Amino acid sequence: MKKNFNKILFIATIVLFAIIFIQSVWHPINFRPLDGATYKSDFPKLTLQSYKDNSFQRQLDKYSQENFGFREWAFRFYNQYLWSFYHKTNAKIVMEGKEGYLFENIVVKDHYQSLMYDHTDDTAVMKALFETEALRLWKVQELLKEHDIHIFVNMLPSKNDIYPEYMPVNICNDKPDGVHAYDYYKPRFEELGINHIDNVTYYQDIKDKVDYPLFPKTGTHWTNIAASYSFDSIIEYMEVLGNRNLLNIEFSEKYIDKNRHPDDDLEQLLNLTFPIRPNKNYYVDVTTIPDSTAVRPKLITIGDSFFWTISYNIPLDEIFNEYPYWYYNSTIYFDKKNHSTNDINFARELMSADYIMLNYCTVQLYDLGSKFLPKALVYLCYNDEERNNKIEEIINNMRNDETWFNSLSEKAQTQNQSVEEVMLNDAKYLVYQQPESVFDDLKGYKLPTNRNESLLNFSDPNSFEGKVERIIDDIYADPNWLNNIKKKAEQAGVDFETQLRNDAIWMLNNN
Amino acid sequence: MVFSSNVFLIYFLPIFLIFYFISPKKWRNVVLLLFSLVFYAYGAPDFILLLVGSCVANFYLVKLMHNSENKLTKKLYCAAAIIISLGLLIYYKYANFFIDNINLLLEAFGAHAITFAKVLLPIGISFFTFQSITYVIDTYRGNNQPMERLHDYVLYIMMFPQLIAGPIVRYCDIEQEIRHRNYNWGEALQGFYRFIIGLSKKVLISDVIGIQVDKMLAGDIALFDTATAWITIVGYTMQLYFDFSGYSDMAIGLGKIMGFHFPENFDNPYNSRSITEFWRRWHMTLGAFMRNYLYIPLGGNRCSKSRMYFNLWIVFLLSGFWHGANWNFLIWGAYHGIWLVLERMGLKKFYDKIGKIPSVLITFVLAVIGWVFFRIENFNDAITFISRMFAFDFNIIATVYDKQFFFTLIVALIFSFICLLPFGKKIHDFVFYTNYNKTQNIIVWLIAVIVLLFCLGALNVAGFSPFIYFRF
Repeated sequence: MKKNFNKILFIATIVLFAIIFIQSVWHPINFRPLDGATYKSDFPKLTLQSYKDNSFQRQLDKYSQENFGFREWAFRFYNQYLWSFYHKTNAKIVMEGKEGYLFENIVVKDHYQSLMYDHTDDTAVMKALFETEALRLWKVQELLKEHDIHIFVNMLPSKNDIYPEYMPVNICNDKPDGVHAYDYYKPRFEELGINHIDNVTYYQDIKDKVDYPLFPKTGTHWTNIAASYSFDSIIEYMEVLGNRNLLNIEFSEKYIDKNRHPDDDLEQLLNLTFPIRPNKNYYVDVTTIPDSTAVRPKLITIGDSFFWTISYNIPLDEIFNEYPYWYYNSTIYFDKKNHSTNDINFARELMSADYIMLNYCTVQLYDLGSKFLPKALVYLCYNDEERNNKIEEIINNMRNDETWFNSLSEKAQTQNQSVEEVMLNDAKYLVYQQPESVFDDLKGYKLPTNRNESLLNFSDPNSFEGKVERIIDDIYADPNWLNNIKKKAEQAGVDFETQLRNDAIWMLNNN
Repeated sequence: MVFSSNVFLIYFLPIFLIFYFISPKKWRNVVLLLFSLVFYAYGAPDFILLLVGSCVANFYLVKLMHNSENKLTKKLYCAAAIIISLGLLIYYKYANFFIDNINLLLEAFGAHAITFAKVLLPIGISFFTFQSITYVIDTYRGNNQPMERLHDYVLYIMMFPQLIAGPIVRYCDIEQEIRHRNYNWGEALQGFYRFIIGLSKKVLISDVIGIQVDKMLAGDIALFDTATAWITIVGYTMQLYFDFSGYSDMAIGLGKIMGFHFPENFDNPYNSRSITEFWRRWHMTLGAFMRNYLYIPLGGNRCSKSRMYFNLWIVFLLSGFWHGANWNFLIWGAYHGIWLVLERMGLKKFYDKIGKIPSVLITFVLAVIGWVFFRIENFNDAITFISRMFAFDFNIIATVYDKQFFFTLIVALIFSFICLLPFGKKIHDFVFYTNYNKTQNIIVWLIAVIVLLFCLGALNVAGFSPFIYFRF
C-alpha cells in the first residue's frame, strides 16, 4: 500500500517537471503577465558555430529565463519574499523612500543633483548643451511664429520636486553636485522670452493647500487629478499665445474610483503577489464648455510619459482637430497616418501644426525636445536642395575617408543593411541631429539667419506644394491607394515618402 | 550545464525523467548514458570526444591488464592507464600554471619566455580522472572485476549527476548498481527531496551570500575593519560550504531517483573538533580517495613518525593543488597539512582537554583562516586580509551591508552548527534519513514543490528588471 502511494507521489513529481517543461515550451495556460516593459529575446538558432562558441547555450539560457513555465508565479512569489522581509526589489529603477513612498532611480539622482552624470561628467559641457538647446528653441519659436505656429514648453514637476521630504538616502554622494536642467532652463527661458508654463513652482505652491495628492505614493507620474487640473491653464495659455479662442473645460466634483487604473506604476514594477497598500485615487470628470466661436487647432505634443495622464483624462478629441503625440520624438500616438517620426514628411507635419507643446517633467528636461529642435531648425532654415547637398557632401566624405568607410561597412554588416543605406542614415543623422557638425552657421552658439522660404508653400493651398499636399491627403484617405504606393516604393527601392510625393506630383501634372 | 540552471531544470531534467522511467529497465543505462553525453557535450563541446576517447582507452587497457598473466605486463598496463588519466589532468589543469612559473623564472634570468597557447580546462576533469584511477587501481588490486561492456564503463565515468563536481564515486561502490539496481519509489522520492534541499542550499543561501561577498572582496582589502573582514570571510565560508554541499546533495538526490546510492560527501564539517576531523567530514570522497590511493601507498601510518608526518603533509599539499592550479591552493593545502601534523604531534590532546565547544570554535576559526588562502589568489592580499581580521580595529565601515545577506548568513550559520545540539541532530536525521509516512510525505512533497518554484524565481528574477515604458 505504502509502495503504491510512494509510486503515485513519485509519478506526480515527474508529472510536475513535465508540466513545467510543457508550460515553458508551449505556454498552454495564460497567467497575468508580469508588469513593466522588458526586452525579449528570440529562440536562438542552433548552428555548429553557435554551439561550438557557446553562444547558442548562452542565448538559450537567456531565452529560458524569459520564458520558463510559471515564471509569473515564481517571480511574484520570490519578489514578495524580498519585499516583505528586506524591502528589496529586483526592479532596479525603483527605490523606496520614507513612509513607503516609491521613487524612480533617475528621480532620486536628479534630486541629489547627479542626473547630469548620465549625460556628461563635465558641468561646463552640460551647461553648453543646455544653452545650445535654449537658443535653438528660441530660434525655432521665432521662425515658427512667422507661420502662425506657436511652440511652448510645459515644464512639469517630478515627484522629487513635490515630495522632497520622502526621498530615500543619497545614492550618488560620491560626486559633486551637477547642473540641474530645470534650474538652468527656467531663468534662461525668461531671459530669452521663450514660451513656457512653469508648473513646477505652481504645484510646489499648491501642494499644502489642496486635499488630494499630486503624486501617488507608489507611482512616478502625477496623479490623474493633478494632470486634469493642469490642462485648464494650458488651454488658457494657448489661447493667449495664438490669439485664438479654444474650447474651455470644466471639472466635476472630485471623487474616488477604485475601478479605474490606479496610479501605481512603480509598485507594478515590483511584481508582487499582494498589493503594498491601496492608493486613494482621486479623479475629476473633465468636459468641454460648448462654444460655437471656438476653433479646434492642431496640437503636436513632443515629450515624456507625463502626457499619457493628460490623454487619459482630457477630451482632447473635442478640443483639438488633431493632437498627435510624438513620444520622445520617436513613436507617434493619436495619429491615424503615422506611427513613427522616422516615416513622416517632417516639413509637412511641422507646417500643419498650430501649436507644438514640449511636455517634459524636470527629470526629462535634460532631453528637451528629444532631438526635435535641431531637426526643426534645419528644416526651417535650409531648403530641400541645401539639405540634400549637405547629405551628398557627407556621403562623398565617407567614401573618400578609408577609416570612416571601413567602420560604416562593418556597421552595415552588423545591422544587415547595405553600406549605401548606412551611409545615407548616418549622413541624415549628422544633418538633422548634429547640425552643428555640418552647417557653419550652427557651430557653437551661432544661429542661422537664412530661412527656408519653400515652407511658405505649405500654408498656401493654391501653391504647387499646397496642391501636392492635398493629393497626399487624398492618398492617405484611401487605404488601397496607399498600399499600392507602399508596394511601388518597395519595388522601386525608394523610401515611401519619396514615392508618395512622386505619385502626387504625377497626379497633379497629369490631371 | 549545471543543475542550478534553467536549461537543466526546465528542459533537460523533465525530458530525462520521462525517457528514463518509460524505458524498459534493461535500456535505462543506455538512456542515462545518452543523456549524460548530451549533458557534457552541451557545456563542453570541445572536450566530449577527449573524454569519451580517454574512457575507451582506459576500458581496454584495464581489460588487457586484467587478462594479462605476467605481473610486469600487468603493472605496465596499469601504469599506462594511470598515465593517460593523470596526463590529461596534468596537461589540461596544470600546464598553464607550470609554463607561467617557468616563464617567470626565465624572465628573472633574462631569458626569453616560452610562447604557449593557453589551455582551456575541460569541466569536471578533476573528478572523472580520479574515478578512472579508482577503477584502474581497484581492478589491479583485484578488488573487483573489470566491466564487461564499454557503455557501462563510460556510464560509470560520465554519469551526469556526479560528472561535474562529484562525489568521487569509487568503482567498487557502484559496480553492482550499474549492473543491476532495484528501484524503490520511497527512495526515489527521498532523492527528489534531497535534490530540492541541494538546490535551495545553492540558490537560496550560497548564491545570495556569494553576491555580497564578491562585492566586498572587490573593494580595497587594506581598508577593511576587523568586523568587515570577519563578516566577509565567514560569508565566504558559508557560501563555499552551501554551494559545494548543495551540489553534492543534488547529485546524491538525482542518483537516488535513478536507483544509485552515491557516497555522502559532507557531514556537518564545521562541527568538527579538529582539522583532522574536519577532513573526515568535508569533501569526504576526496579524503577517502587521498587516503586509499595516495596516503596508504606512501606508507600511511605504518612507518616512522617523521615519515608519517611528511606523508600527511604531502597528501594535503597535493590535495590543495588538486583544488586549483595556483599557488594559493598549494598554500591552503600546506596550511591544512601543518595543522594535521600538529594535531598528531599533540594538539589533539589539548582539544580533548578543553572540551567540545571551544575545540569546535578553534577548528572553525582555523578553517575560516584557511579559506582566506583559498579565496584570495594573491598571497600578499591574503596576508593583508588576515592582518585586518586580527587588527581589532572597528572604526572603518568599508562596505554597506545588505539585509538579505545578513539574514541568510545567520540562517547558514544556524544550519551549519545546529547538529551540535541533540535537538538539531534529530531534525537533521529526520530531514535527511527518515522514511516518511504518508502524511509526512504529502507535506514534504508540497513543501518541495513550493521551494522548487521559489528557487526558480530566485534563479531568474535578478535578470528581470522591467522599465515603466521603453524610452528611446
